[in-house]
Amino acid sequence: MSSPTSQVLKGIRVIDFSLVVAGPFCSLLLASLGAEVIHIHSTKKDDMNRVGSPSRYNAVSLNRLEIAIDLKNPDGVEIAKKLIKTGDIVIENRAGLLEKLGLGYEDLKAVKPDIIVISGSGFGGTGPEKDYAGFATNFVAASGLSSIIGYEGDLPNEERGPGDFRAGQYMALAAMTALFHHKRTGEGQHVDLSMTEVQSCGIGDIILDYTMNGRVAAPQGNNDDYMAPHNCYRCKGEDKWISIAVGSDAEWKKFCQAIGNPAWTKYEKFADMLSRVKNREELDKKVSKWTIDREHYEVMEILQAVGVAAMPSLNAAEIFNDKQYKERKFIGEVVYNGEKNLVLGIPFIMSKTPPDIYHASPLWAQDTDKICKSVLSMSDEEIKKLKDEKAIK
Amino acid sequence: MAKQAFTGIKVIEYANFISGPYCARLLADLGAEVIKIEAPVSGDESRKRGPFPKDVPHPEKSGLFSYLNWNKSGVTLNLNDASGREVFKQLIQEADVLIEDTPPGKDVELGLDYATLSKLNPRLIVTSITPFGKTGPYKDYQAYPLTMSHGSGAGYVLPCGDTYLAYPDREPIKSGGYIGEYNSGETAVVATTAALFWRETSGEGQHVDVSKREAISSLSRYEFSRYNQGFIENRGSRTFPVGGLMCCKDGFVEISLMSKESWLGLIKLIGSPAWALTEDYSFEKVIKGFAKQEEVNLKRKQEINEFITCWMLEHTKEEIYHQGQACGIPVTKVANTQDVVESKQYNARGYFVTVDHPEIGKVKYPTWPCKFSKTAPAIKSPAPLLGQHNEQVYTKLGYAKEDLVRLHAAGVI
Repeated sequence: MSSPTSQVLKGIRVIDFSLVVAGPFCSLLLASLGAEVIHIHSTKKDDMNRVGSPSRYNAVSLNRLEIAIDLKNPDGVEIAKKLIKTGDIVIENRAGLLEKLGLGYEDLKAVKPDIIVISGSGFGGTGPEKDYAGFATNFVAASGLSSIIGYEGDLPNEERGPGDFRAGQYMALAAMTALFHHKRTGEGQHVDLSMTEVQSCGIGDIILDYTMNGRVAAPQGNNDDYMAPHNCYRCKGEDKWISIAVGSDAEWKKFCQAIGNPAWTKYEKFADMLSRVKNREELDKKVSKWTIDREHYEVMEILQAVGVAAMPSLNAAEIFNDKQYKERKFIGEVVYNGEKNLVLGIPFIMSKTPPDIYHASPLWAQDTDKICKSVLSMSDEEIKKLKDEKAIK
Repeated sequence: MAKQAFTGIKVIEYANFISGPYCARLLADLGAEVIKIEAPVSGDESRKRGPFPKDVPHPEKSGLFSYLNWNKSGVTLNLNDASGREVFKQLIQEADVLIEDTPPGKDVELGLDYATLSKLNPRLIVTSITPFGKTGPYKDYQAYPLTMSHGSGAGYVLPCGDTYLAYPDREPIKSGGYIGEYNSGETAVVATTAALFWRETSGEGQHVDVSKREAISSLSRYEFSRYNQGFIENRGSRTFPVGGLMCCKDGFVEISLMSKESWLGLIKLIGSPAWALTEDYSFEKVIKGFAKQEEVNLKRKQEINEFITCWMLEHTKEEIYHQGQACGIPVTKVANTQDVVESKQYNARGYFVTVDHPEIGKVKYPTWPCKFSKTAPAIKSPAPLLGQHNEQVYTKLGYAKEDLVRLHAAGVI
C-alpha cells in the first residue's frame, strides 16, 4: 500500500465497521488526510458493490486496508476489540447492530476509555423511528429535499447518490471535531448522526419559510425568484445543455452584448430584472434560439469572457476530462483489481498537508494476515487456527 | 456551560451568502469565537434574501441570514479602504482562522491572500471558499448556485423516474434550493478542522483552498463511477428497477427495493395480489441484477409500477411509511417541509430549536444532525444586526469611541 502525502492524521488509526457509502466516504476523507483505516468486513458475504459494480465500490472505498472478521463468532468479537484497543476512532453505520454484537459504545469504552465512536444511521440512534430502514434515496425523500427537486408545478424527484456522501462528509466533520477535542483533552466520545437530518440542514432557509410563514415549498425547476435568464438551455449535440445565470442588470447588459444585441433584448418586457423574471418563459425561448446552434463549451467561453456565469450541465465523461479538475489534480487514476479506474479526488487543497488518493480499494479480506501480524502481533499458527474456526478469513 | 470542541479558537469571517458564513457558523456552534465582517451599509448578500416574516423584506429580518449567522459577533469594515485594511490586519494578528471567499486577484488587492497574511500571523489558517478554487483555467469564471449545480455534474441526472418519462426532452435541473452551497460549507469545515488539528502538532498555519464545484461533484461519485464501465448516467437511468418515487393517496412515497426481503415485504404490504405470486413477478425476475438495472425492460418496470401504484393510491403516505417499515421495506414519505417540521422523529431528537431574534422574533430553526456526547453544539446568541458589535470588537483592539466615530464618518465601518 502506498503512503499518504498528508500528515494531518498521521498515527491515527480508524477502525471502520461501515458498509456501502456514507461510513466509507467518511473513512476515505480521514484516510486522505493521513489516517490508517482498517475496514472490518464479513467473512461470509462479499460487499454487494464490490461484486456487482466494482467501479462504484472503488469510487468510495479507497485508501484503506481490509480484514475479514466474523463478528458473530466470539473469537471474532475479541479480535475486533483488540483492534479497537490499538485504534483511536471507530466509524460505523450498522444501525444498532454493533450493540447487539457486544460492540456498542459502552462496550468499546470498557476496552478503550478514550475511544471516539462515530455512528451514522438513517434516522438517528434515538427516537420512535430509530430502527427504520432506508437508503440515500429514502433519507433525501424524508428530509424534505426531494419535495423541492422537480420542474415548476410538477412532481417531486428522487436524488440518487449524493445523500449518502453528504452524510459521510458530515460524519467526517464530526470525526475531526471529536479528534480535535481528544487531542486537547484526551477525552473520547460518541457521536450519533441522523443521515436524514443531514440533508435537511442544507435546505434550512426553505424549512424556515414554513416555520416563519407557513408556506410549504414546491419544486421550482431551475428557477430563481430574483434572476432571469436562470435556466439550462439546449445546445448543439445530443443531450448537451448550458446553464446560464444572469444576476443583475449590469450582467444582463454584458449578456446582451455577448450574444450580439439582437432586437428582442431591447424589449420593454425584458428591461429590468423583475420584468425578466415575470416573462422568463418567453425569455428562455429567445435564449435557447441563440444556444441551440452552439456547443455548450463554446457558449460557456463566450459568456464567461464578458463575466456572465455559464457552465455546461456536465456528464460523467466531461467531469473526468474537465481541464480545471485535471489542473487541480481532482481527477485520479488507480488500478483496481487489474482495471484502470478514474476516480474523483478530495475537494480541497491544503498548502502544507494536501490530502490525496494513494491506494485503490481492497479486495475481500485482502489485508487480514498483514493486520493480524503487524497490528495484533499474532503468530502464523494463531492466524491459521482462527481461520480454521472461521473467526477470520 | 458544557465544554465545546473549539473553545478559544478565534475565527474571522469575510464571506458572503451561504458557504463561507455556514462554515463559520458550524465552527461557532462548536465553540469557536467568530467575528463576521460585513460591508458597511449593504451587509451580507443573504440579508436581501428570504424568507422574511410575512414576506416583508428587511435587511435585519432575513431568515436565511439569521440561520447562517447565529453565535457570531458582527462588525462592519470596508476593506476597499486603506484604513479598513489596517483594522483588518489587527484583527488577523489575534485570529486562528480566516474564512474568506474573495475571487483570486481581489484577495491580493485587499491584502487577504495567504502569502500576505501568513507574514503577519504564521499560525493563521486561511480557508478560501470560491466557486472554482484559487487556481486553474476556470479560476476567474463567474458562478451562481445554478451554474455550480450543473457544472458539478449534479444537475445532469435530474429530474428522473416518472418526471423523465413524462418529459424526456426537457432540460436538466438543479438540486433543491441552495443545497450545494451548504454542502460546500460543510466541506470547508472538514478542511479547516484538519488544518487546526495539524497546527496543534506543527504550530504552523496553512492555506486551505476549497472549490465549491469540486465539493458538489464530490457527492456524485457514485453516478460518475459507472463511466469506468462505459456507462454515462443520465436522467433516464433509474436507481431502482421498480419502486422509487411513487404517487399515493395524499402525496408521494419513496420505496427502495433492492433485497429479496424488501420485495417480499412489498407484496405482503399490498395484500399479496394474485399477479405478485406468479413466477413472472419473483424477486429474481423483477429486482435481481440491481447493478445491471438498465437491462430490465423499461416497459415491464412501468407495468409493475402501475400495479403497485393502484394500491398506493388507496393509502396515505403516513400509512405506507409505518406499515411498509413494519413489513421490512425501506420506505419513507416524500416529506414536504411541513412534514419535516412536524416529524415525530425529528422532534424527539430535538432537531428544531426556537431562537429569539430581536427583529424576527421567535422562530423554529433546523439545527444539528448529530449528537456529541461530550462537546455538544449550542446556540448562544442570535445573528448579529449589521455592525452590532463594532464598539465591543474595535475598542478591544484599542480604538477609542471617538476613533470609531471618525471611522464611521469616513465609511470605514
